[in-house]
Amino acid sequence: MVERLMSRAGVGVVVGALGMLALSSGPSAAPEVAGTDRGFVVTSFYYANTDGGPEACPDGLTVSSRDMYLASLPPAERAEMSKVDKELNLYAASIRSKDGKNLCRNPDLAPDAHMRTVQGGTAFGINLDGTDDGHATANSCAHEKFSSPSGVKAVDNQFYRVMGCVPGYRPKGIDEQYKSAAYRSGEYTVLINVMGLKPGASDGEVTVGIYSSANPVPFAGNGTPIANASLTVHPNPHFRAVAHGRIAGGVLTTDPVDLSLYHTVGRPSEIALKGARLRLELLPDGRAKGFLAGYQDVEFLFHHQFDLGAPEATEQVKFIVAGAAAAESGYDCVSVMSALKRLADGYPDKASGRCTAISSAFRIEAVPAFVIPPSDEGARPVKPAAADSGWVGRWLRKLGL
Amino acid sequence: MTRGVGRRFAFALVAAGMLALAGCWQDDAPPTKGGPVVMRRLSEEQYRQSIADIFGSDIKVAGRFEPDVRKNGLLAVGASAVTVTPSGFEQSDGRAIAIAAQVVDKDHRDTRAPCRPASVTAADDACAAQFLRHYGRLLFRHPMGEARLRQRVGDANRATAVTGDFYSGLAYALAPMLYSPEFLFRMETSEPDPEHPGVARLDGFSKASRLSFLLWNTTPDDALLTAAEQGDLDTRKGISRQVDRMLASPRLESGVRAFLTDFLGFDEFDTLAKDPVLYPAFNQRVAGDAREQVLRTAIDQLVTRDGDYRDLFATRRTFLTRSLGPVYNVPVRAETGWEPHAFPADDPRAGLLTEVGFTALHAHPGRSSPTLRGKAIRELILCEPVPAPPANVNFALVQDTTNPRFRTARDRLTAHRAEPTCAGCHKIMDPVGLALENFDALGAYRVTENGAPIDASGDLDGMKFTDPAGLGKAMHDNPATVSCLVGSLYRYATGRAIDKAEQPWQRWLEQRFAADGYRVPTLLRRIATSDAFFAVAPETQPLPAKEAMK
Amino acid sequence: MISNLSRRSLLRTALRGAGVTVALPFLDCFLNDNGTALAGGAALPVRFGTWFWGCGMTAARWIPKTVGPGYEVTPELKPMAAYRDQVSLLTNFDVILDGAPNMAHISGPIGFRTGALPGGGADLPSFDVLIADVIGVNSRFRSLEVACTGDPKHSYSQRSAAVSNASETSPVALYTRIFGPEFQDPNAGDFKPDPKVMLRKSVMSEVRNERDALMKRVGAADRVRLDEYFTSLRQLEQQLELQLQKPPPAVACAVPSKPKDMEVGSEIEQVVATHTLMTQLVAMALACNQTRAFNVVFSNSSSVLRKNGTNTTHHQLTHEEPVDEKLGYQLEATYFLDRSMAAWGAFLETLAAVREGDGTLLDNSMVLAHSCTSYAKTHAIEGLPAMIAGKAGGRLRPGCHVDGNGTPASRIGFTAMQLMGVPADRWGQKSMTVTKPVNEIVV
Repeated sequence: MVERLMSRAGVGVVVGALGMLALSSGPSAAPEVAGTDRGFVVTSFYYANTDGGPEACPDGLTVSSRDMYLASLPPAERAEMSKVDKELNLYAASIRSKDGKNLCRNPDLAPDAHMRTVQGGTAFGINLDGTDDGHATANSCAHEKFSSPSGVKAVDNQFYRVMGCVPGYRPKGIDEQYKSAAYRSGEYTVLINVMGLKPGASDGEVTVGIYSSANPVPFAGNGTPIANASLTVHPNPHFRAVAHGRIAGGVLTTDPVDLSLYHTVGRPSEIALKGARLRLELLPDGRAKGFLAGYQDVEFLFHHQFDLGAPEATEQVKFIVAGAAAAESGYDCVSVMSALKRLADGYPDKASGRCTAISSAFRIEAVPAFVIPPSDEGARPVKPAAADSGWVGRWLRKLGL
Repeated sequence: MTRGVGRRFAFALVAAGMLALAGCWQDDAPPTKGGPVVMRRLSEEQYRQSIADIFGSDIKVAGRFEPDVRKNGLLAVGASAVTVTPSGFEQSDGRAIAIAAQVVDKDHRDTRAPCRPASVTAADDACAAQFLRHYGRLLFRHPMGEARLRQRVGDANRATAVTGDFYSGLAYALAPMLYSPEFLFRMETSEPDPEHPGVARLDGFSKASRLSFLLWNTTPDDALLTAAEQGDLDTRKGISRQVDRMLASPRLESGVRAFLTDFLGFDEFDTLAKDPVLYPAFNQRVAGDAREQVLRTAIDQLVTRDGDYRDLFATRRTFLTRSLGPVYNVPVRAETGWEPHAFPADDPRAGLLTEVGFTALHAHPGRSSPTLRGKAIRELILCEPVPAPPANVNFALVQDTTNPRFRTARDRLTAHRAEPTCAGCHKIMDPVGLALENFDALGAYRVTENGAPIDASGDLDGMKFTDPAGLGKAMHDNPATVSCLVGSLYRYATGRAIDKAEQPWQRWLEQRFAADGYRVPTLLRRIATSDAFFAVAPETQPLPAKEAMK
Repeated sequence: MISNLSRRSLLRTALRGAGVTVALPFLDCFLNDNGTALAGGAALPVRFGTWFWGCGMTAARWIPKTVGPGYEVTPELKPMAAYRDQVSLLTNFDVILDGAPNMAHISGPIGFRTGALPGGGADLPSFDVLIADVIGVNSRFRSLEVACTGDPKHSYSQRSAAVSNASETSPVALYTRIFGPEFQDPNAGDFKPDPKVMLRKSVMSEVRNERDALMKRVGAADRVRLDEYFTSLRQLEQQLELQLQKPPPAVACAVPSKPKDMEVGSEIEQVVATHTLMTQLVAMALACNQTRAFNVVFSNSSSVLRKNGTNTTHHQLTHEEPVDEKLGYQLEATYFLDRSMAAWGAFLETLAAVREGDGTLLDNSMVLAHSCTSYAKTHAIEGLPAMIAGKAGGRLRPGCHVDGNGTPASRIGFTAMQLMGVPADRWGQKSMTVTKPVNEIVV
C-alpha cells in the first residue's frame, strides 16, 4: 500500500512508498507536492454512552448474574456464599448452567431474565441506516432511533440501548475505567490518516485511513496527550481500512467501510465494525473529536466481549473471569445475548430475516500525529498479547489467580 | 583517513628534519615554555570509563559524584582546581568498596584475577602480588613501586586472616587503591630532559595519561603504558605512532564527545526543567535525546565525515528519535533508536544552534531567553566573556510578558538596548540571541509570540542576518568561532588557561587549523604531537580572565 | 583515636576562653563521678545549622516597626508567626561592597557567609565550616548539607571558592547515608566493634601515611589541594573510629523509616515535599548525634522556584513583575516568599517537636536563616534579611528584633561563631571586618 506522508504546517516533504522517508545522507528527494495529509492518533476510545437522564432507565439499572444467583439461594446458603472467602466460588457459580456449563459461553442454556434496557430517546452516535425513523430497509431491521444531547437526529445506537442501563457500562463506569486504562497504557491504539486534501484547502474530498497501531499513544507525565508524535500503522493488514470521505465546515465524514481494530480484553481481541462511518469535528487547535460507528456482528461481539478468559486459561478460571466481569459490571450474560439479538438492527440473515448485527458507536478524541507507513514485511499475524494483560488480567491478579 | 594522516606526518618529519631548532625538531611551530604541572581530578565520566576499561564494563559503578567546577569556561580547567571534600571522599570510599567487591566476587574472579590462590581460605603472597601489581599499574597509570606493592599485599594478608577468605582480602587491599589520590587525580611527574640540560619534561607515563584522556577520555590502555615503559613516548615517532593508533580507533568518538560536552556546557542538562503544563512534550527522555542529538550531529560532521568545523553552524543533517519528533514536528520512521534526518534546504533549522539541545538548554523553564542564548553563544562558542551586570540595575524598566505593548521578547528587551547601563553588555548578547526567538523554551518552532509575529533579524559583529540560518552563516564566517575552538581544545587538553608566552603558538595553531580545512581530528593530532602539549615550566604568568578564555 | 587525656586537655583549653563553653560528645570520660551529668555541668550538645532561601523580601512588609522582644508579626513574617518567640529577627545589617562589583545573588551570600566579597581576591571558608570544625570534630559527620531544589551545586557552605560542600538532593540517598547499613543506633543495647570496620580503617590509615611522599611530588598549589584531600580522608577515618566505639545514648533518637523515592526539581510543590522529608532526616540525624552541624538550602540564591503552568520563575518575577499599584508589592513574586517562610516555619516545627531533656531539639540548637538579597528586584544587599532561631542550650536570647543600623552583616556570622566556640575576636575583611557581636541576642 503506497502511503504519501507530508509533515505538518505546509512544509512539504513527501516520502515515497513503504519505508522510504527522507533518510539518505544526501540532500532530500525533491518533494512532490500533491496534497497535505493530516494524521491523528486517537487518545480516547470507548463506547459512546451517556447518562440519559431519569427516562433512560425508569425501572432502575440492571441486576448482575451474581445478585440474581444469590437471590435464588435459600438464606443460609446465601449468607455462606456472600462471605469474602467465597467470592471466587460465587463468581463461578453465578454463571453456571444447570448442567454445569459456562453461560457466558453458552447463553442459550438458561432462560432470558429480561435485562432492563434503555427506554429514553437520547444517545450519541451516527445515522447508519440512512433513514429518519428507523424503518426496515434492505440491510436493516425496524428499530427506534435516538437524538443526541447536542441535537443530532436519527442516531442508530442499539448497543447503547442494550447496555445503557448496565452500571459498569454507564459513563465513568467500571468497564470504561478499565478499558480506558488499557488504551492509555498502550494495549491498543487507533490511528486516523486523512489523505488527499489539496494544499491550502481545508474542505474537499479525501481518503481516510483507519488503522490500528502497535505503538502506544504518547502521554506526558500529567496525562496530556503529546501532539505530533510518530506512530506506525499496524503490521497486520487485517487491522487497516481505507474509506472515502469529505470535509465540510470543519467536519470529516466517511462513506461506509468494513474495518477491524485490534483490541484487548485480557487477551487479544478485536472490534469489528461493518458499514462503519467516521464523523470527526476538526477543531481549530488541531485536535479532533467525534464518533466511529458501525454494526457489530452479535455473535462475534458477544464472544469477544462477554465470553471472557484467555484461550489457554483453565475452564475454572474462565468461569471466574467471566462471572467476575458480569458481577462487577452488573449484567448477566444470558440476558445480554438475548437483548443483543432482539435489538439487532443490521445485516438481516437471508433465511430468517432476523438482523445479525447491532449498531454501535464509539466516542473518539484525537490529537495530530504523523502516521508512519508500516515496513514492507508484509502481513504478519498479530502476536497474542500476554495472557495476563489487560483489565481481566489485573482482575485475575487481584483475585490471586 | 589514517593513510592521509600518515602521509602528512611523513611530510612533517622531513620538514622538521630541515628545521631543527636547538635540538627541538617540531615543524615551524613557535616554541613555548609550557605550563606548570597540575594534578587534575577525574570527572565522573573519566572515572566510569576508567573502571570499565580496567575491570570490565559489567562492573557497576553506583553512587553519586561531586559536581565538577567550571573555570575559564571549561570543566577540564576546573579539574585542576578542585579537590575531594569530605562528602566527596565518603562517596569515593563507598564506590571503591562496591567496585572491589564485584571484581573479586564469584561471577568475576575467574575472568578478572590473573591467577588463582593455592587455597581460597588462606593468604597467597604470589597471587595477591600479581593481582595487585596488575591493577595497580592500570589504576595509577604507572607501575607500582615494590615497597608499596608489599604494603598492599600485607593489607590483603591481614584482611584474609580476619575474614578467612583470600578474595575478600584482595578486596580490602584493592579498595583503597580506588580512592587513592593517584587514582582520583591525574598526578603528573616531570623529570630532567636529557636533551635540554636544565629543562624539565613530563615523564612517559604522564604523557601517556595526557594522550589518553585527550583522545579517548579514559585511562591509558596497556599498549600506551607499555609504550611509556619502553621509552617510546620520549621520541616524536613513538608519540606519533600512538596518536595515530588512537585517532584511528572508534574510541576517538568518546574523546571528542567528552570535549564537546564540556565545551557546550552540557552539564547543565542535569538540572534542566521545563514547565510541564506549558510544554507537555518535555520529559527526561526528551532532554537526554536532545543532548545526544547535538553530540551525534557534531560527531557525524567532525569525526565521521572529517568535515569543516564551521559547517556545524549551517548543517541541516542531523539525527532524530521518536521522542524528539513532536518537538521538531517532523515524522520519525524508526520505532526505536535513532535515524538520520535532513531538514529541507529552506528550513529555518540549520546548524547546531537551532537544535533543541542548544535552544532548550539556554532558556528558562517557562519561556525562551534571547539573553541566555546570546550569552551562551558569546561565552561558549566565541570565547568572549560577558561582564557581570552592574551593581545598581534599575529593573523597573523591564515589563511583564502579558503587557500588551511588549508581546515579544524583542519588545521586552528594548529597555536593555535603550538604557545606557544595560546596553553595554546586552548589545553583545541580545542581537545574537534574538535570531533564535523562533524557537520557544522547548526549542519548538513558532512564528508568533502572544499573537505578534517574531522578527529574527540581528547582527553578529557587523554581519547582519534575518533568520536563524543567517545567524549560522555569520557564525561560520566569524573568526572568533574558529579561534575559540582552537583555544578551548588546547585549554581542555592542558587543563589550564593559556599562558601569555603560548599565544604565538596558539596563533600558529589557528593558521594550521585553517590550512587543514578546519578539521578537528587533524587539530587533535597537531596538539597531541606538539612539543607545547607536553612542555612543562614552573608557575607562569597567567592571563587575565578575559583573555584566558580565548 | 585521640586518647582520653588529650580530650580532657582540649576541654581545659577551650574553657579558658571567657564565657564560652564548648559542646562535647557525650562520652563516659566526661561524666561526673555519679555519671548523671557532664563534667563541665553543661547541658545536652548544642547544634548549629543554616537555612537558606532565595530572593529575599520586601522591606516595608518584612521589618517590624519596633525592636526588642515581642516584635510585630509583619505580613511577610506571618507564615512563621507561631515561632515568633523562638526566632530573633535581624534587620538592617548590610553586606558592604567597598567598590567590589555586586555580583547579582552571589555577593550577598558570599559576603554574609565568609565575611569577604568575591572579586576582592579573598577566598575564605564560610562560618558554618569554621563552626563545624569545632563542634563537628567528634561526630560521625562533620556537617550535612542538603538542597531541596534538586541541584547539588546549591550550597553556601565552602572551605574556599574551589572547595564547596555539595548538597545532598535526594532524601532517599540522604537516608541511606545516615541511617543505612553503616548506622549504629545509639540506643541499641548490644555493641561489638566490627572487625571489618577495623580493617577498613587500617587500610585507610595506610593511604594517609602516603601523604608525605605525595606532597613532595606536587607543586605549592597542589599541596593545598592534597591537604584538603587528606583532611577529608581523616574525617572518614574518624567516622570509622567512632563506629568502633559504643556510641553514647541519645534520648531523642528515633530512627525514621526510609522515605519513598521521589523526583526532585525546582517546581514549588516538589521543593516543599523534598524539604519536608529532608527536615525530618536532618532532625533525626541531630537527635541521634550523627552530626552537630547542618546546612539546608530551601531555594537557592536567585531562586529557581517556579509554579507549574506559569512561564516565569521566582527570580524572573522579582525583576519583571510590576509592583501592584494598590498593594504596593509584587504579588506573584511574594507568593514564593510566603511559601518559603511557611517552609521555614515547618522546619522549626519539626525541630521543636523533638523532645530532648527538659526542652526540645530547637532549644538546643542555633539555626541561622538568611537570603541572598534584601529586595531582589534591585539586587540590593543592604539589610540582608537574617533570623536566628533556637536557644542554643541557653546561650541565645530568642524572639528579639534587632536593628543593625547599617553595621556589617558579618556581625551575624561572627556572633554565631563566638557562641558556638570558634576562637575568634575579629572576622571579615575590609568594611566587613567586625569585632562586635550582636549582643542583644547573647545571654
